[in-house]
Amino acid sequence: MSAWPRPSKTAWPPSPDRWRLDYEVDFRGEATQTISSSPVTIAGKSWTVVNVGNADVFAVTNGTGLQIGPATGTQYAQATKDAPYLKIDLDELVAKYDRADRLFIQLRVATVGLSADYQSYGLVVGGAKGDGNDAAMLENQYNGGTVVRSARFGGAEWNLDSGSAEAGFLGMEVRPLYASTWHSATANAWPRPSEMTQASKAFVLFNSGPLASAGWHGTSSMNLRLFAERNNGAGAYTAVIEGLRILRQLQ
Amino acid sequence: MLGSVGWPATPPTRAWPGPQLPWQVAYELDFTRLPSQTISGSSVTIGGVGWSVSNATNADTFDLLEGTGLRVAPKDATQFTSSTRTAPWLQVEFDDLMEDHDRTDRLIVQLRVAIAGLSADYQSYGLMVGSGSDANDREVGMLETIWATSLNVRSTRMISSETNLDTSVSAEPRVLQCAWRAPCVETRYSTPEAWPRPQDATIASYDFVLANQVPTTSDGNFAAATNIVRLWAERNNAAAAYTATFEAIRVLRQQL
Repeated sequence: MSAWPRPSKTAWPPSPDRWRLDYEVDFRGEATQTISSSPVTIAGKSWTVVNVGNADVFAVTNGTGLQIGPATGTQYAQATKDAPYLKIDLDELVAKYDRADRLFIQLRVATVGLSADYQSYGLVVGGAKGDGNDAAMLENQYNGGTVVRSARFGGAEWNLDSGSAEAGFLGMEVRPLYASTWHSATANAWPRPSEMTQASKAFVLFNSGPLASAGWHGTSSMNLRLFAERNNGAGAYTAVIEGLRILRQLQ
Repeated sequence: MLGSVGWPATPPTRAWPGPQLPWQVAYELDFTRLPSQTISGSSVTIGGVGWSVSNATNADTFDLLEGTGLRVAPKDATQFTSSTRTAPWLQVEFDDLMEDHDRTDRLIVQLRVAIAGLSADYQSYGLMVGSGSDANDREVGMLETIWATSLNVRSTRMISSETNLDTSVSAEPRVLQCAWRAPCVETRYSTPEAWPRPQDATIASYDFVLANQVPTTSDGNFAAATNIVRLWAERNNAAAAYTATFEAIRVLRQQL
C-alpha cells in the first residue's frame, strides 16, 4: 500500500496540447464603417451590436481598428451592462466549434492611456443566456491605477486585479466550464499563449447546484463580447481593438 | 494561417459533456462475501484495498458481516453536512480502486444497499464523490437516502455552503448512483436490487458543478485534490437507532 493520503497523480485540468490558429481578424485592415445599428458585418462575420446609443464613437476605421468610445455613465458589470459592446457566438468564428474544445482567445489593443476611475475595455466570454452572466471577463481598467482585471459573473461578481500597466494583449483560455486569463505588453507579434503572463488561474464559469432539470451550463451556446465602459465621471476616451484571434485545441 | 478544411472530423455538438462512450466495469466489490471484521481506528483493508475510516467511535455498529455486508449504525447526534461531519464514514481514493485512473475519466459509482427502514428525522446514509480530500471536504457531490419529514433521495453539493435537492420516494432505493465527470456530478437511484444500466436508473439531479472557483492567483482545491468516494451514515435529532447496510459497490468507467 502506498502512503495515505497520496497526492493526486493527475492534475486537473490536464496539461494542454498544441494550439492551432482557427480564427484571426485584423480590424485595422477592414474597411472604414460607422457602427450605428445591429447587426454589423465585420470581415464577413455578423456581430450583434448592443447599446450603440451609449457610444460617442463606435466604428471600424481602416488603419486603426475597432473603436469604441463609451459615453459617460456606462458600465459593463454583473448588475449593469449598459456599455456599448459587440457580441458574437463562438460558433460563428470557429468552424465546428465544440464545447469540449479548448480555446485561447487573444485580443490585440492599442494602449489608450487610461487615467480615471472607471475607464475600462476588454472581452467577455460566457453562456448566451442570463444576460451575459455565467461569464468570464478580462479588461484593462483604471481603478485607482491601471490594472488588468479578471472577473467572473454569476450570482455575484468576483474580481482579481493584476499588473500595473495597460496590456497590449489580452488572452483568455476557455475550456469546458472553466476560463483562465492572461496578458502581455504590446509587441509587434502575437504572443504565444505560453509567453503571456497569467492574470488568473482557472476559474469556473458556471455555478449550478443540484438541478431537477438539465442546466443550461450543459446546453447554452457560448459567445464573445468586446466592450468599453466609462463610469464615475471619468474623461472621454476611445478604446481601440486592433485584432482578434482564436487558437484551439481539440480534446 | 487558418486550420485545414474539414477539421475536426467529428460532427459539431454543443452538448456538454460530449457523446457517451461504452462503460466498462473498472471495479466491483461485494461486501456481503467478505469475511466478518469489526471496523475501528483510522484505516481498514477491505477487499485488499486500504480505506480511510473516520468517526468510528460514533457508530454503535461498524463492521463487515459475512452474508450481510458493510454495516454502519450511527449514534445519535451524528451528522454529515457541510459544516459538521461527525457521522462515521469510510473513504477510498479512485486511484486505489482502478489502475491508470485519470481525472478526465468519466466514472459512475453505484452503491447497492439494503433497506434500512428509515422512519424519523434525520436518519440518512449514502455516498459522496468528488475532490474531498481537502481539509474541509469541499467541492463534493452527495447522494443519500434520508428521512426528512418523509422519505427522500437527496442530492447535495458542498462547496462553501450546502445546496440540497430532495426527490420524494415511496421506498428506499436499492441502488444509489453518482456519475463523475469533472467538474460535474449527476445523481440517480434505482429501486430494484439488480445493478441497473446507468441510463436506466431514475435521475435525481442533472449535472451540477462541484467547483466554485473564482478568479484566483493560485490553484484551487479542486485542481489539486485527489478524487474519492465516501460511504457514511448519520442519525440526528434523537431519531431512533438504525443500521445502514452497504451490500456492494462498483465503479464504471469511460476513458476519453
